[in-house]
Amino acid sequence: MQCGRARAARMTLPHYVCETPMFMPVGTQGSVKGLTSRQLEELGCQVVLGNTYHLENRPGSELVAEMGGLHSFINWPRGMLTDSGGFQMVSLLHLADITEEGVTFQSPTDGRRMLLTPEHSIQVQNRLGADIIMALDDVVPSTAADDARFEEATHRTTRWIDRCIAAHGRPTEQNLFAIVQGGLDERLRDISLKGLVARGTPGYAIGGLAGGEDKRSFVKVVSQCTAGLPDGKPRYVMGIGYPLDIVICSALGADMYDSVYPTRTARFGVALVPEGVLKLKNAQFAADYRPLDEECGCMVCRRYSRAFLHPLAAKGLPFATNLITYHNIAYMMRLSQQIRDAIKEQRYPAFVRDYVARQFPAGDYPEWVVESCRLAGIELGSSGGGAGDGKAAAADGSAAAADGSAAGAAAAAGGSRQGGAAADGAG
Amino acid sequence: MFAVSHRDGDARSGELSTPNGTIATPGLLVYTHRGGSMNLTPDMLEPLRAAGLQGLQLDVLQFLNQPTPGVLSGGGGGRKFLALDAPGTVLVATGRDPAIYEYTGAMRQATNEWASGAATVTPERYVEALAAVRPDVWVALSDDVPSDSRTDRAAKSVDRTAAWLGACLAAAQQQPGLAAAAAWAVVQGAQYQHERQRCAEAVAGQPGVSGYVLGGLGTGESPEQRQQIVQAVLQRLPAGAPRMLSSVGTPEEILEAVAQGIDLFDTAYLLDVTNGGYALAFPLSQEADEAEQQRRQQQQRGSAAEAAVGAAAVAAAAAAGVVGKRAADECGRDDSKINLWALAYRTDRRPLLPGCTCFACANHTRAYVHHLLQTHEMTGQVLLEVHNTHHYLRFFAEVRKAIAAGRFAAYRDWFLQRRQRWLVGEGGRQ
Ligand SMILES: [Zn+2]
Ligand SMILES: [Zn+2]
Repeated sequence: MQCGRARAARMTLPHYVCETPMFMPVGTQGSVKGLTSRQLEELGCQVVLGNTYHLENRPGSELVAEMGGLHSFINWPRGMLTDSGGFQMVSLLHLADITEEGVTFQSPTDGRRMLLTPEHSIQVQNRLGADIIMALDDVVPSTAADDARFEEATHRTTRWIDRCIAAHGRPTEQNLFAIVQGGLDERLRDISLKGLVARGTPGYAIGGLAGGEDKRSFVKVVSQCTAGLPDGKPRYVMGIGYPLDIVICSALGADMYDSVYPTRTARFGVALVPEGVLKLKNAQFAADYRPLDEECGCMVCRRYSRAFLHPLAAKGLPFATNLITYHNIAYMMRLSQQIRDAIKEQRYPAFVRDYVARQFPAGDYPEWVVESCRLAGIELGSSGGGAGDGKAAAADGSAAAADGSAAGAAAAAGGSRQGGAAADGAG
Repeated sequence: MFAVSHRDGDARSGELSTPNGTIATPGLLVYTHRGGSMNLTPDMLEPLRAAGLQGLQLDVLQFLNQPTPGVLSGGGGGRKFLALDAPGTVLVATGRDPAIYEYTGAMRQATNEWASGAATVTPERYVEALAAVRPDVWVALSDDVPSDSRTDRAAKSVDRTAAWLGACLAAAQQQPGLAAAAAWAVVQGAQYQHERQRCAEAVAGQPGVSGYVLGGLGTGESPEQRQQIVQAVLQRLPAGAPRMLSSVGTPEEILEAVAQGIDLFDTAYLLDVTNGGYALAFPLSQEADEAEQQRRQQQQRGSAAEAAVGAAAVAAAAAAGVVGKRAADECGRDDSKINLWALAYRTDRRPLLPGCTCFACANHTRAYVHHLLQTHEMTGQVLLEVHNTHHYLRFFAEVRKAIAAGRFAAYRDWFLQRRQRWLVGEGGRQ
């Protein structure tokens, strides 16, 4: 079902038939922060991510294979997606170095030089057994490299996809997604798109974003890529977790998102609500008897008030983190559902207008939001203008400046990609 | 209302009835911190009712500030504010967080909020917080001192505990919200029998007091010392009143105390077990124990036979297999629990405890829990807490069953002998 550029679709995976657009929570090491797989099912999660780099470290893909694959190991009956592991090596490890052969890095356990090749990444992901596996791409941070490096990375990613396809041992059980690269350069993105589309992989990801680039460039790339990708294949914007970003990217025709933002921000006592975020550590919630989100109705919102959660969050108790994590996932699942419903009912533009208006009640819409909506064919109407290149986080009047503690790593759009680093740093 | 239904020696079983539900005794109060279980969201806690969850322990001192009594009352009182209002949930409010002390007796560092709480709390403030919590049973404020306190400090604690009981009862009269709640007194006096007796006599039979708590134990006294104190105190308390032992909680300690006539326990034992990465794994009954023994023997006989028949190489391989199996069973375990940190569980597809019907055992493997611990994922604690709470609640149910059937002494003997057998047998082999 199409509504402007936005689309609602059904994606059939070996373990589950998914409805898109959808947000996929990140279970880096085989669990989503404190939640059980049963709870994820009850919350309506369709696909859970696993991080190949972490899982290969512990418990190791061979052990996972011996235990019947990732689904069986963590007892998760629905869809799973694993990343290639390359990004996390580049971002987590010092001395990582990319050559035509693959990514060389220093083993965190014994310091030896190791090499992750496209073949090796696919082999590991074949052992883990997720429904969707990701090609190893040549990752360049979108903000910190010269043009020549981007040019090289773009072409190398295309060369590597052939090696990934050739190495893929379970093509009927696992869907290999290619990742579009090319930095913020329109020409390079175009080259990447053409090369990868020609390979006809079952799905495509838009990579190299969520790394701190400005929002306007970010949306421009997403818009270009969704326009250039085939209609009949899923489009996955990697590392996107801010609710507003998901609403916007869906307007541009993207289908899948993942990020540790909802779970990570919960650890800082931040709850997601339609107006933006609630920073529960703030004293203003000490006697606020409303649920986190009056429209939510999740287990946490049915039982607990902001006043109950405030002192627990202020003390950083695991119980508070568990409850807020639960709610935040519920929020992301409900948002995904609302997006799907609005598209199916042909009222997505109105949905976007309402959503943006709630996040910016003063009408001071950031320019990138206005512009991206225009790209999507959605007129937002009056804009206060001048709010500039906002970072799309908190819009709660009292807590306007995004949550301080999380701001550093989340300055980009959160993302499992940052997530790995964040999980280690803040764990 | 407390009614004893069966007596078996000094042990007894019965029922404590409150406006919001009943607790079968001997019973376990499940520990909460600020009204929440340590790791379990309500949807994980609720199903434990089927295993016997009835009573929750709350520490009143955690509701003096952040949140204040005013915030609690504004939110409809503790039951509603803390979302502990499911039918059948009995709230018992005490003045001591059992997790402040290790069950071995040492003061805890991490959760030591006692010092700041005690510095400012008065009986009046305490009762104000109590009224906001709206418990079914409340325990009076007492001057809680460890067993090895000096004699003058112990004497002072007895005087204070008696005086604070009076002040609490008087203040509670002014609180309509506490009218239906039962008031229990604490007996202090450190390790000194005469002080314990003096305290028991001072609080026993005070008008308005319907139950008693033995406080200040689990703080380093020897099992013999504790037994003597419990005996001396119980002799001086009304026989028909419920008696709670605070902050003592290993299975052996529970059995010893039940044998002396204790009815109720609050303890951080499960917290310690869970935080240590352990899953309780002791058999709940003699029958289950014997079946397990038989199974093991058969296994060993089977592999011994295999080894005898085969050639040397086959025998060696079989022996290696046996050693492997034994290692998986015995490394990282003692007579009552297994340690999921142990590498032996890396590929163990069995549930935490085969045969257990808890959520964790029904859905997940030892290998998964081991992995979650190794990677410091919170879900590991969640699964362990579910299992441990479930198993311990069932243990208490077995204790009650044994008393009702008049075979508690045999049950206790079996349990303690099992431990001996372990120490000289299986445990010694490691
Ligand atoms: Zn909610
Ligand atoms: Zn269990």
